[in-house]
Amino acid sequence: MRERMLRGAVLAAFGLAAGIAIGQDNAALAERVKDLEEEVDGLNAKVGAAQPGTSGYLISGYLKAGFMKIEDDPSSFGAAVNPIFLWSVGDRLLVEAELELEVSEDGTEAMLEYANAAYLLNDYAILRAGKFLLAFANFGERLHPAWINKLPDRPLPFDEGGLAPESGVGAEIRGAFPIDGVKLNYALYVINGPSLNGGPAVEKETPAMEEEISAMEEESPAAGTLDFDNFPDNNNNKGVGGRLGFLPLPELEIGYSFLTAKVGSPETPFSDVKALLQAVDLSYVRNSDILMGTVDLRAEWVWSNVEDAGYGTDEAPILFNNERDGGYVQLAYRPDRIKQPVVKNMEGVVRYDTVNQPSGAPDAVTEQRWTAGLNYWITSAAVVKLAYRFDDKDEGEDANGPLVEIGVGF
Amino acid sequence: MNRHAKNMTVMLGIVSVVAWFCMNVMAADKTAKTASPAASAKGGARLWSQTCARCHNSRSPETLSDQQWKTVMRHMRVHAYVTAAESRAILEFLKSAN
Repeated sequence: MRERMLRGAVLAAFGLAAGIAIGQDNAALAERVKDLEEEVDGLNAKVGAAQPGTSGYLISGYLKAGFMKIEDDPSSFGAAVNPIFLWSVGDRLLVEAELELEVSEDGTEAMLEYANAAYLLNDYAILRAGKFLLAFANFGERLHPAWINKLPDRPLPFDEGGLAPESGVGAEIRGAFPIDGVKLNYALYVINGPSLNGGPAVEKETPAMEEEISAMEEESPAAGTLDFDNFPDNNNNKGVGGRLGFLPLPELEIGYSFLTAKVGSPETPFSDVKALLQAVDLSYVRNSDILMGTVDLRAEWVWSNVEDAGYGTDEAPILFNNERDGGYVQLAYRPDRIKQPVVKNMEGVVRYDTVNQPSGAPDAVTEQRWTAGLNYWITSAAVVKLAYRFDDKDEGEDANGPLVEIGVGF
Repeated sequence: MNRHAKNMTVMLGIVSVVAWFCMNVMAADKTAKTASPAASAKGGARLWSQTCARCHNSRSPETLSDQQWKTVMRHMRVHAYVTAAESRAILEFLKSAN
């Protein structure tokens, strides 16, 4: 009996102790759960604040800082930043805009590179309107950003005042699609189109003071050249252009582009003058086991034909066949499959570029250049470029010299 | 031969020689890769590397968030002729690698 009572007392003591322990555990657990709930509430609040909703906004772009010493010109540093604003709205709309802010003689020059809204109609067609980079050849639309262009300067036909247009204001339909293992892409656009520079002799016909005429003669672009910054449009005719690209292999793209427009202003001797610009482009980029790296080959050729027009005056006419052409071939190699960290980040580049101007045309300089460069990639989007340019002009001083640039994409 | 023709000939010559060289390298690469089944596998990762490289180096997936990549891929579709299917596959890869 006593033994039974003792056993009962021991069991009761254990039960009491276990009950107290469980009670204490439950209290700790409840407290911990409460803490976690508070923590989750806090995280939810933070995540909710960071949620972008149905639209995505992103600032991207690139920066360049450079140095050049060309022949007897003073050596000079330069810098520019190009912020790109991207805003995707819903499932089909993209708004994109790029500014270029560059140091200039007057302080800072600001330019609107492009600003447009694109609507994805379906998997094969995109409609866009506004100011956009033109699908004319390849360099101006896709290769010119400082962290993509492999040399510090631009090929002659795509340089400022060159043969190829870079952007236009208007509307475009474009797209890309696969067919039987190959890929096609296309773009067709209507824009203000280029305008024809009539030269200072024509400007003299306007009633203006002699001093103003002299100033215009000095500043006017050469007669017969095209001005691609045609806003507002100089006539009611619109430029029509496009590009067709063909990728027989993922690494190889071949393209043909055209742009045609009436380029003269109404009520001038050039009102009916038409221009046709054409281009072919080729790009081949391959990362190869055999070569232990990446080969990057680009080649583009641009040619333009502007109908004959009477430049100059009756007393001193300027006559020439207004056909111009030019292009470039560029080859780069980066041994990025070599394990040595410094060597794998280096890249050699060589480019030949040329532009041919009609003989007899005012201020028309035929030029060809060889440029050799060595790049060092700090990251996949940051590069230091060192190059030397060998120039050959048929008139004036050759623009030989070293070029240095840092290009950073962000 | 005038200067235009001479320049054009020089450029065509350079392109032809380099293209011939690249095609040979490509053929040799293809032969080498046939022996490796893993190397022939195509997916978002391969498309990402191949498609980006047509213009520039590929950026690492972790440099942007999923939502930012979505915006970038739409930009690339509009700007650089990336097809809709490629765009979707690359975005899936970028999200999975993030």
